[in-house]
Amino acid sequence: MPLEVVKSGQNLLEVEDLKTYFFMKDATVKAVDGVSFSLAAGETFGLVGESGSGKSQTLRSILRLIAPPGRIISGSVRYKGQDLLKVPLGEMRKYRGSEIGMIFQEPMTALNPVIRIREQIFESLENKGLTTDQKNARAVELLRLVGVPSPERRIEEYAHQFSGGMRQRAMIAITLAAEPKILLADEPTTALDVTIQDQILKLIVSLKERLGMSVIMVTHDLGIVAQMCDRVAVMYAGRIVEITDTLTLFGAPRHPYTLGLMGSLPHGARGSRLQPITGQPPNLANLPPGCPFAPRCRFAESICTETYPEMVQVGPGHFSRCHFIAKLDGQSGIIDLGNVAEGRR
Amino acid sequence: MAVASIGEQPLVVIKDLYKHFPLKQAILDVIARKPALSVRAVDGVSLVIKQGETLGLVGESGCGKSTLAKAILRLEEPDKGTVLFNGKDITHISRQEFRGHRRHMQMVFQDPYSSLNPRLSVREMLIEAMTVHKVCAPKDAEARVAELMAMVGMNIAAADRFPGEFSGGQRQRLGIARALAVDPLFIIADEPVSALDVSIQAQVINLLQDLQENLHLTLLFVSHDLRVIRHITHRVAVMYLGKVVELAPTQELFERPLHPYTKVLAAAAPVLDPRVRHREYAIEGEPPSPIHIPTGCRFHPRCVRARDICKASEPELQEVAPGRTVACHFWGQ
Amino acid sequence: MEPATAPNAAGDLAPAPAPATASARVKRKSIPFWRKSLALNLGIIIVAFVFFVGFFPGLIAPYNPNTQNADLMLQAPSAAHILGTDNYGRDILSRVIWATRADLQIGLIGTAIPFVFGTLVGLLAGYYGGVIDQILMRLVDIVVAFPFIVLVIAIIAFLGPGIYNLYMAISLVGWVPYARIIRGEVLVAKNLDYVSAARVLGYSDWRIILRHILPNVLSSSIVYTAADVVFCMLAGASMGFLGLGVQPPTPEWGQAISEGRVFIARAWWLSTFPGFALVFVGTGFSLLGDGLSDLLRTKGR
Repeated sequence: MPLEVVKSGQNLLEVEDLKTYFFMKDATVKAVDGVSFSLAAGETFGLVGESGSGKSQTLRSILRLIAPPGRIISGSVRYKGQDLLKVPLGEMRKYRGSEIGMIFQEPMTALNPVIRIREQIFESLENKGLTTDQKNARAVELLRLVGVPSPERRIEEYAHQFSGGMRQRAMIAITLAAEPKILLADEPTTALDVTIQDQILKLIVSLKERLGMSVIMVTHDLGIVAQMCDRVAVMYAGRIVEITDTLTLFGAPRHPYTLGLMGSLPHGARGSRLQPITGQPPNLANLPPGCPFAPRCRFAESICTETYPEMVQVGPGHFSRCHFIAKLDGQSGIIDLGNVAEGRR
Repeated sequence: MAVASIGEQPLVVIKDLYKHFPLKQAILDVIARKPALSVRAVDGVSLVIKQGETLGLVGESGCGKSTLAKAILRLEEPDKGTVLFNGKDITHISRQEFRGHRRHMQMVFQDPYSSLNPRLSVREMLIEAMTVHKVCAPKDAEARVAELMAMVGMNIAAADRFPGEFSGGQRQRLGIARALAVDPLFIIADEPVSALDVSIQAQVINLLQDLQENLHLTLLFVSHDLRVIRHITHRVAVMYLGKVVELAPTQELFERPLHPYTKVLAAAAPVLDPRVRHREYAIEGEPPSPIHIPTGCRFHPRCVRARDICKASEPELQEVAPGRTVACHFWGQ
Repeated sequence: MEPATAPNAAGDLAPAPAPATASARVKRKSIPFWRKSLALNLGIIIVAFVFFVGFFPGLIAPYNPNTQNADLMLQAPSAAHILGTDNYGRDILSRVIWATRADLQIGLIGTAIPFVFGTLVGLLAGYYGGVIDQILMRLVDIVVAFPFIVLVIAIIAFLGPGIYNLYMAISLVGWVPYARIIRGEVLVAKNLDYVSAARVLGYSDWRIILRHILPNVLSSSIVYTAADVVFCMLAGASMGFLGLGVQPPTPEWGQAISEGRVFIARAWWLSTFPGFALVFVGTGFSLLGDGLSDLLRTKGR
């Protein structure tokens, strides 16, 4: 078992050495290339990275929602002692929805445009032995729970009659109807305005606590990570490069890429100059040998372009994939772990 | 044109600008003489952009910030109101005459994938802009292309390539180079970094900041991202449902927001510190549609401070401190 | 904000506009276009052959197509006359070969004029919109209301039969699809940011239309031309068949099929071989069109 999978009896989900490749005409794109992490019960785990880092494909691989030319090559996704990657595809239905639910960035593409919201919630309520009246009541209750105003009326409507924020709420209601133990959230607020994002994020937090779910949150926004996650994995070019608790990530990151992300964030007043990562993200179809971040890394030496670094433990529950962890000693993130910042916005 | 550091000299003066988009009306409603509805995207905006400053324009989608940007440049013809550029009215002159002024005011777009003509090489794109406005002698064009590429941090070897061969961040640099090709005084950047990844976003923000300082550009920076706005602008205008509700120097706005909506925006942005977490919503509900704008103060139905007067009369933008204006009846509370 | 990615297979990858590293570019270029599409290769070979035949029929045809010989009437295919002879004793192979010229001409001219005119109409209607668009598109509606062939026949009936009137009739009707295709594309393209940028840069309308919009909207109508050539040749042949197109004795496939029709029971070769020629040429252009559309699609925009 890889280091970064926390050894604990309470792990709800353990992803180990997951590889998902896309076989394109001219090249093989290694979207997910050996990803391991674990999710404890009641935890919110963040997968953060830029576009192309493989964070969404990792999430989709958990429910085996990978369509050709993509294929899950190897690895395991252990849920309640069962490797989901070994379950016959026909039986995945038992896990999708009722055990592990998923919400998407663009709910319009995930909601069915020609079926009323009510019917879509009903679909998630199947196999629970409810009468139609009970289902109706439950659907209204769910919509109310996620903050849709006048749910009795809106339940009769179609997805296109909902605003972006309301669609995401409806999507969440449909997902929750099946009472999943784990909620996979793929950039659920990226398409929304900041005030609506705030509402949806806080809704997810309160629902998670009320229903005792665990959440895996995929996002590119470090602000969302800070506000939502207990632990977080930073992904780059298909692999996890750093994994730790959220506070340590912001206070004392131990991977040059994470440090680079922190330096790229505008987080103060005018005048402070940003310290961006130089260069461009790599082409996944044509990764160089060695560490894929090496060409952009200010700490890189010749070994970095030759050998891919292994995961190294740098602290309790804190792992980083870098040859030169020692060089990073004393580097700090964007928060000072010494004192609590006062409402810095 | 010699411009000192950020002066008090206004470069762009927007006076009471309106842009409404009429909705299509059913024929029966026309016959029944129902009043025609329209989306009131920009609904009476007055704003002064000073020479050499970066003015931020912030608000949520549908607040009219992009339409305002387009109306200034007449990409959308304003319905009413005036824009003065360097003291000259540019809204009430013919399109033909306006074309001559266009080189002074340029735009950088949000989507790096649709903002460059895929059939023109970088060199062709830049030279076309220079030739049309006779920015330099034809023999100097090559040197100018090299200069522009260097300015935006691109290798001159890339000049013969086509947009399809570049990444999002590189395309955004090229879009900036195109805007700079005609030597403008004023650039409107409409969400220029929203489509970019964080690491690339920072590169482009630094670039814009450097260019603004080195070339003494005046910048209108439109964005929904308060972190970016706070980092790059000198002053900020906050828009809500087609109107500016607060205008203030950036630091003051973030330290002491006066308008309740500004406070909401600031509270809604996720704080980059896991130790500072709040459970309560920054605001309930969603903004009303810009077709049916509430009477009185347009923010009153969602405002915690609202009283009767807020329903009845619309607060004007009033100067409450030097350089600070706010449109709220109870800004002091 | 990250570019919106639909939850499709390759959603998060976005390798399509991925950073163009030198190696990726070289790789893409090293696959020449003729290796990519079999349809395109076949199409090009057939069309090239047809063009050669059409331009130099004299080099290939064994006989003069118009030499009549009462002794050789309705001869079945033989070594001397591979495809037989017709009711005037003319060599059918030679007539089929010479007819390529007339039919190809109809196909090309009948496509070129509508292509230019329709593109212009589409550009103006799409770019300016408003009243111009309304007028031009109502005109399109009127033309579309009638079946193509019926309208062509009606126009020829009005103008009188003959090759020039045939061109005129096809041109009057054939521009419509181009106008519609181009207008649709312009409506999308004119709202793209690079066109806004061109306006902000103060470019003239003509510069914007011709340099920034036209090259980006042309590909789908170019693909359509390949199909249209076939369409026009068939229309030309149909008119020839009805006696409204190319007039005898100039050889033309439709007219030849029509003439052979009378003798179909005892001399099948009269109508059959001109028919085969039509099918062969039609297939060639269709393959070319398919191949082109593949090529333009993979090239991406």
